[in-house]
Amino acid sequence: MTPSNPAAPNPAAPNPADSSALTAGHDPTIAITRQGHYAGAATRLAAFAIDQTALTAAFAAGSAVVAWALALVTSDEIKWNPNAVISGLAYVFWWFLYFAYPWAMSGKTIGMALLGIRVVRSDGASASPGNAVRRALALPLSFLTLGIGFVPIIIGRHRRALHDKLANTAVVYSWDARGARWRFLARQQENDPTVL
Amino acid sequence: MNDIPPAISAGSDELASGPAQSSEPAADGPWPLDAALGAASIAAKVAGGVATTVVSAAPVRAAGGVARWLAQPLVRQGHAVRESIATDGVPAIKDTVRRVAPAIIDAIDVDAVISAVDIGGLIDRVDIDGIVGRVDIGAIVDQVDIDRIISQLDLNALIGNVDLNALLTSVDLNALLSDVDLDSLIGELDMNALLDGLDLNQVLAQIDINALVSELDLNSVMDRIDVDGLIANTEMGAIIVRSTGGAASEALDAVRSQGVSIDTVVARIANRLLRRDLDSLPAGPPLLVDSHLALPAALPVDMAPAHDAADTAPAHGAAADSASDPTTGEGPR
Repeated sequence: MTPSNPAAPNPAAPNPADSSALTAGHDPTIAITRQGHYAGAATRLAAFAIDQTALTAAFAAGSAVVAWALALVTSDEIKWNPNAVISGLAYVFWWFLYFAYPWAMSGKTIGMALLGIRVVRSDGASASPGNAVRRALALPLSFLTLGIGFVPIIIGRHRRALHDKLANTAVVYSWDARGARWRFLARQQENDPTVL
Repeated sequence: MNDIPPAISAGSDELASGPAQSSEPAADGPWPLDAALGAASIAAKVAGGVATTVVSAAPVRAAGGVARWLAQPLVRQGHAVRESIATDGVPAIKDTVRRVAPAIIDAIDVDAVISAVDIGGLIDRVDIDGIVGRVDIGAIVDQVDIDRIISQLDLNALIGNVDLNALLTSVDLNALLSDVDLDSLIGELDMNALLDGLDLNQVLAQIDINALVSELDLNSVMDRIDVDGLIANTEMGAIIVRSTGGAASEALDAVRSQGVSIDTVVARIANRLLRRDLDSLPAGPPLLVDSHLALPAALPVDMAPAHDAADTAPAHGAAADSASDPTTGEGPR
């Protein structure tokens, strides 16, 4: 961990074009300089996609279990209809719960944890349950505006979407990029001890 | 005897051996003197013989007894004079010498005498090596009681008189230490015995670890550690891989890293389209970007984004994993 000018070439830094670097994976060096910065659109979109897939799968599985249990009790087969009001309300409630509770507890959902991002207050402090609830409630508004609410993530100065502004929150990179870099260097050194 | 002229020596030999044995008189010396001396010696012998004959005669002995009887008053007077000389004359002579000697010594020009002496020649004639060789130094040293001498020394007073500061300033420690063979010195040290005599528990008990750690700037210490070199030159890399490795972590690292890369590219394109000054944009929430920057290594030139320099500036640098949350005390993970 030698402090140096980032713009200066460093012979110790791995070259991504190197074969050993390729076999060791993606170099996370660049991510270290982004720790605590506003997260970008691609990462947030990927995290949301994972969350949406996970919560839908969980809801489907839960619905199937509930339907199977009701069938056992009533001896009448009930099919889940997403257009049904009860099912819709249940899905919305589950959706809200899926996002609000993890944000309130740790600031990250499953998808965000996988992608290494986190919801914080706009000043950088941990999000409170109030921030989490407001954000979960405001998130649909970004969709209801035909996605315009997400545009500030790309062009905004603070990369905060509409629901972020409404909930006074922001999303930042928070994964252990330094540890990832060490793991990368270790894998690289194990593949080719002469590379470093 | 060597100072006697050769003629006198020859005369003496002639007297010892008699005139008949002399082959020829010395021709080199003064012959009148030699002749006079020869006649005198013959006369003395003749007189001696005559005197012996005369003294042994009865009339002469009778005359001697009469003369002795007649000289009794003179003998008594002479004895008294000799006694008076012995009792009064000797102190008088000593007193005279005592009075005269200083005057004589004062009259002697000692400097002139010393200057006349060839001291160098005198010293050259002295065989110092021979003198020293005759001295049994060992025996002399054996007779010296060093312990007694040391016991009589007042070392405190001695040291008190020594100006240690002046002494130390005059000592060239560098030259002194350069002559010290530290390797051999350390080699002679019995470290085990040294450590056996050291009560580490007592030493550690006296150390205020908390105060020590509170004064320690761990961030600067960590900055000085070349983790890349550490991983490359030790088994630490393998340990990291074994302890944290795995397909899942590797995949996560890759996905996250690539996500950040894509975000960077998207942001760069957007900012270029909007013609925004990247340095004027906030990098993140103030509580996170103002924290200590933990940059383990410089980015390669071909990987470094255009605004990396701005990101490493205090206003934009960040380390979410090392930053503390002021409200919860929890790192922003």
